[in-house]
Amino acid sequence: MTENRMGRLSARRLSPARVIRITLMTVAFLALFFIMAFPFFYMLTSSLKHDADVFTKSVFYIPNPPVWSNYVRVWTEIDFMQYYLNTIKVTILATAAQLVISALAAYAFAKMRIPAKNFFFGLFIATMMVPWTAIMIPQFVVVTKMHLYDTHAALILLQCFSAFGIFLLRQFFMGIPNELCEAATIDGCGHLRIFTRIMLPLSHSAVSALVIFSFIKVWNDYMAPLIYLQTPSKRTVQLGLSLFRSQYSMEYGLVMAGTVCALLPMILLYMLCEKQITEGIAFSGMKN
Amino acid sequence: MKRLSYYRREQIEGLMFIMPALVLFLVFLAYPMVYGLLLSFTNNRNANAALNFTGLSNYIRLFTKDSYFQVSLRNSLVYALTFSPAVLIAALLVALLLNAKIKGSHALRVVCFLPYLTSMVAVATVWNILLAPNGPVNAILRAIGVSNPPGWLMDKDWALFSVTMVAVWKNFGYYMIILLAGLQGIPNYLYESARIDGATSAKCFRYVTLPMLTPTIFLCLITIIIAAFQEFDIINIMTQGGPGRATNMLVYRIYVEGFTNMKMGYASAIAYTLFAIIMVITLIQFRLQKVWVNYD
Amino acid sequence: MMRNKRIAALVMALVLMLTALPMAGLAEGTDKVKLYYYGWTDEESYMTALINLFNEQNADIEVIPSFVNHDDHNQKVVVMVSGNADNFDLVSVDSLANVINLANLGGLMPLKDRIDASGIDMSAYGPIIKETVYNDEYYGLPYRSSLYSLYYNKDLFDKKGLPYPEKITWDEYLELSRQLTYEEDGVQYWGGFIPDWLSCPLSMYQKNSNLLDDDMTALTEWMTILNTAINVDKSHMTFQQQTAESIDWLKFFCTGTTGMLLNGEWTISMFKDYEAQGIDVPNWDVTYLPCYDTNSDVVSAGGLSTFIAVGANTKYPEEAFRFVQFMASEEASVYLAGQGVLPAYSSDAVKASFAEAAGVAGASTLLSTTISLEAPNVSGYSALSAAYQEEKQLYITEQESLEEFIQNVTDRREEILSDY
Repeated sequence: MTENRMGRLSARRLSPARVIRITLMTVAFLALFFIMAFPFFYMLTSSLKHDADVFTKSVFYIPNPPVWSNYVRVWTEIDFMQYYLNTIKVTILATAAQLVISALAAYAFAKMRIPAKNFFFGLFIATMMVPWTAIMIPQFVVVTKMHLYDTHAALILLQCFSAFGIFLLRQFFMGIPNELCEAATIDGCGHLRIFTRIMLPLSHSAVSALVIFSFIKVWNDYMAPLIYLQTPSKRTVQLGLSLFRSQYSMEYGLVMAGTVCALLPMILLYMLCEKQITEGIAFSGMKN
Repeated sequence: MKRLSYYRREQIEGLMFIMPALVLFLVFLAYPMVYGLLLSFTNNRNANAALNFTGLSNYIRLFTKDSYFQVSLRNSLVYALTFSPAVLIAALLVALLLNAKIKGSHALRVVCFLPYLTSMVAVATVWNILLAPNGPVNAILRAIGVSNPPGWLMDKDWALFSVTMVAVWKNFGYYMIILLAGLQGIPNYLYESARIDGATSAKCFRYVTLPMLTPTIFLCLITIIIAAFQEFDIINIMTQGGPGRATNMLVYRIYVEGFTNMKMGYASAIAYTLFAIIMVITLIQFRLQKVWVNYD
Repeated sequence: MMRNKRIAALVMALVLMLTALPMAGLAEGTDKVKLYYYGWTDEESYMTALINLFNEQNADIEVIPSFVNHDDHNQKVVVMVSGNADNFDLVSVDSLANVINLANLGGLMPLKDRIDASGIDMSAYGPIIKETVYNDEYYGLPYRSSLYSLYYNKDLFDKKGLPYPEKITWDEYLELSRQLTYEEDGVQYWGGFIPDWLSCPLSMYQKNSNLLDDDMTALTEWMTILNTAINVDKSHMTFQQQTAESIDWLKFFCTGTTGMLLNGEWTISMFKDYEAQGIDVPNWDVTYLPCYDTNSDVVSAGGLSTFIAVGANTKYPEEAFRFVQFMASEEASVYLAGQGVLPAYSSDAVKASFAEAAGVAGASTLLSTTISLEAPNVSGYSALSAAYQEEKQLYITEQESLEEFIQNVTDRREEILSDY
């Protein structure tokens, strides 16, 4: 589809209608860019302002010289480095585990035989519908009975199960033609090998998307670390950022600087994975 | 005999594949969910003390005497019904638009995802400024001739719509990614064979893209509706349910009843009513799946 | 079979990986008794100092503090109490209402017997301490006191040649606000500032009334004061503008464009924090809240605001109570006063320390005001207060008339209280 569109575009000459269309599209793109990115840039510029200037100067004000002390304070006033490392550890482990568990289950729901398959799938989807506030306390009881209070293991285990992840991958696996799997079976592959050799590579776009979503969800999680962690050295980044908000006030510049620091890994990850999501897969050899 | 044991073995294998997920579900989710449901039939203040069953009294009070519940239920429904199509269409349009390898589409895809990542506090601050009664948006509206622009977030008639707007803006990037991934899952040979049969790009879209995209769209729709009913952060940070009760939604109510008013039993009743509503809508969608979703 | 074995191996590996994660929980006791204390970050500086002092004075006990953001502190404590967490020994609770809530959840240890046995002088808290008794029991001892006062910018008064307010009536307050509202060189000067989050109907308490009163006169009077200040005189910033510009009340006062500010005693310790950080604080002073009758004692809403409580399931009730005793002692209160924090315990030493720390002439007014309990000891009051806040927002932003406001508050109050 992509080559198709591009191919047709370059084949035509630049008639006035085309010029207008390209201009309109450029304007639309720029407008979209501005609307999408503006709050983010506001966040960036606020992080470089003195706290007093954040609300007294105009929204478009770009501080000159930029106040880097906000960033210095974020890393020195609280143990931000430790929180960062903690969060990286928890997020990577949780994302990896979530990916494996969801993918296995999704494949089974999509292509395998399971007793009462729809019932189990329904149960899993149902977990998305219960507001967490309602199950927070019984869940706490379970975790503390397992002696996991004040551990990172609690945070990781709670994030390992993702109904959304299972759902997302199941939809993608269901879209992969059965003929491929049957051909592999004839060649003597078991389910596990079909799973690893065929399913996963073919859905790398969905897998990449899931990696991004899981990473973000675990990284941004605030409530679970709040409830389950106690030792200051075990805190995560979101918990660390909350230390800058006080009961009657908030140091806006500092909070924004901390938030920008907290955002960087997610943006990096997205930019890395984005190619995976939008690259096409060649199906050329599959016309059996 | 041989076939039966093969079937059995496949079933066991299938179970093994879902076993890790199932174990985690049973331990960390099944027990709390069931317990929460039981709690909704009690008048417990403490979620962990001995259960003091009062039958359906919580639910009866919810539906007959609680004006707060009726307001938040209405708000949640209106919000879900406006947010869901808006965000799905926005995500779909932008995904289709940015799927082409036009110059700048990569940068734009990153930028469209930025709102999702931006901290809710920053989002709230910026949108409060933009939607202020004398702010930029209203200035533009007055310039094009609208004599009495709305008060947006501070106006009890427009607050819910404003919140929906902000929510769509913030979230469509997320669903755009899913749809982009879905678009890539469409094998090229389908387009090639359509082209060989002489299809235009519009026909390609209608007969190849859209049908092949339906599983992904289905996923998005289910997820969006569930997420719409569970929206908490925006309300908590931007409006706290106000002005008045204009943006007070069920999830926010659950939180207030459970942790501020300390009536866990009642909060559970609200939670499971919400659960029932979402469940019904989702079940209907799953039934309708056969009509429009194409799993070929 | 091979397939099943492979899958089983995979599942095993996964389980092993998850269980091999570090499981270190809380530190085990050595020879000292370890007590775990839970508070919030705004109190961190002085609570840590007090805890260190206590640990030094009591060699056999070690109190280990843990602080979270104030807004989430209550939720964390509720979850711990409901979940019967271990190591829940000491906790700071930010209001009487929450003490009662936690007591209802069965999370706090009753203290009356120990208080009687230890001979703590309860009269130092004043008569208001009786309001903190719940079900004939004390569930926490207060260490901070709270009240609302009138803070003002001396320079702006000087500029207009107006005398500093001492004891003024509400009408005089509104008049002063009018006189202090003007525009100069493109800068808007405001007569006063009332934050939109201020949920206490201040003048009602001076008429011996509160939100539970069936007689709506006092409430109507308060709403009229607000409406006059904000919408009629326009001497106070509207709620819309406060939200649109994300105005922070204290930072805004420090820009020197507001003449007066109605706020709580926490303002003093926050001013001191700002000064310590090198932020410019205007020439300020404080006086009594505006009232109706300047010939009698001024009544301000507030009360005993912050309590120290003991977890019901603590393993060391004796040692935990010793910390409570310490927090209730004159020594701790003098220290708190020296930080600009208004203690619950009252004595001459405490008053002197507080006056010196505040550094302004008006500090004595905080110590000589009659305090009326802002949130009476009634279940459902917090829900009622929230409903009042919501209707007030609609009325002050002119989306609801006064009649509608009164009607809505009455209806919703009936509904809320019927459930308790």
